[in-house]
Amino acid sequence: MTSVIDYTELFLTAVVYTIALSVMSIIGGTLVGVVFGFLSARRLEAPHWFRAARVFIDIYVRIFRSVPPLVLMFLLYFGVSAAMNLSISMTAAVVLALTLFVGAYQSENIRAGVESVPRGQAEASAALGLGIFSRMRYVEARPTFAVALPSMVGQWVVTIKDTSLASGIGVVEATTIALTVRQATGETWLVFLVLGVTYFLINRGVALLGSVLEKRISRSTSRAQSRAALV
Amino acid sequence: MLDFSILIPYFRDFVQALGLTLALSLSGFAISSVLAALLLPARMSSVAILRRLTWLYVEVLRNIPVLLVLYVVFFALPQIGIKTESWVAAIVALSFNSTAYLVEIYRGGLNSIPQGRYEAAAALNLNSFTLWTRILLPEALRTAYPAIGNQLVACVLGSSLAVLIGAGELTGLAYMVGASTFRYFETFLTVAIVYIVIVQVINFCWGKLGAQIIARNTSRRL
Repeated sequence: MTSVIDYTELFLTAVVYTIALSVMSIIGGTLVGVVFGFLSARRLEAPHWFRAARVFIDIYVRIFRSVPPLVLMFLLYFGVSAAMNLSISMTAAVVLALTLFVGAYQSENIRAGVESVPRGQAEASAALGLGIFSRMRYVEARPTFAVALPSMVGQWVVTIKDTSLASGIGVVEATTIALTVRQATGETWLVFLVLGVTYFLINRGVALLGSVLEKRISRSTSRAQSRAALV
Repeated sequence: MLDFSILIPYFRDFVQALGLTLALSLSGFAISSVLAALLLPARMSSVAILRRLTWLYVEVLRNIPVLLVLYVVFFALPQIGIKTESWVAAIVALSFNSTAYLVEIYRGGLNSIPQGRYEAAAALNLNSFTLWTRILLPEALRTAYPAIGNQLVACVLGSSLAVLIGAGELTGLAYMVGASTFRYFETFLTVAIVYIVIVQVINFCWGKLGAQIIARNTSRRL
């Protein structure tokens, strides 16, 4: 039996890999969420093709909120390569699965944020002749993120936790290595304790980052409002 | 070429696995709804130590992966003499995880009740039993209802992790069938569709049930 200490370096490398997977999936999920959320929100004075986009996005959200991310990973990694003679890397399968899964939740978060923008602002934007995309950027973006950010950060934490599922298809990340070390040393409790503390710290760090972002966005919103009041 | 007919011989196995998935997720959800209700008074207690301990439980369980909880129950607990079958471990892990979320959902529901309700109840000289059963709980339930439904769906999705400790629920069966037929795409796609259908049915029923509960509460009060 070897000692747990011998595996420090291996474990740290795996933690870095967990973080890399998380960052990629968080970026993917957030991008999908922002694009789909802004396109699918019900609002006044929107172009007609938004209605078609909403139908499509509703179907996407319904489907991908209902499939376990582990099944998505299996489907992408084992299934796609078996059926289409197309080899997809483990990392790509994990990131794509988490992007699709978390993207569905994020787009609901963002959509709720956009829909919380008072209707008067839509009328004002139309009166000012703002196009839909300038309206998103200059009118809706701030209040949307002010409302949606807490639940978005919640989904970031979910994403980080769900990267542990990558161990199911054999990606060499923290959980996989923890299982390996457990097998090699027999120190089940110690290994799981270290793994738990690692995830806990990463997630608390992200939550902290989220609250910093929230403060900044609420400060910049109130500053923008007081500037507007002066004009 | 895609060929779904290879799944036909496994039809009975899939029905059984579906039953196990439903059993795991529904019992995990049921147990955690009760546990969360028991922990809620401690979470909102004026006794600091109770409040801190439940806070710690919630924070830890919400910040570590369910998979790790599952591994602790299945691999670590046997070392201190608590040995379980894989399906029991799955239910226990799901319940522990879901309890943490439900405590916070319940708490959010109670916290959303405006202060005026308590003052009105005091003014009407309602006793605390009536206050809780007729005013606070129905109102908190109405606020928390959609989030509780989401947690039920999370339990269904979470039950899929049981494949990693060798339980034969839907995902586990798909893995096995995929390995023996090499038809991974067809099996996992089929199972994904089954999950989608389960979740849509749950969402539909949960919505109907909620509409009824709310209608009954309102009519009784009027």
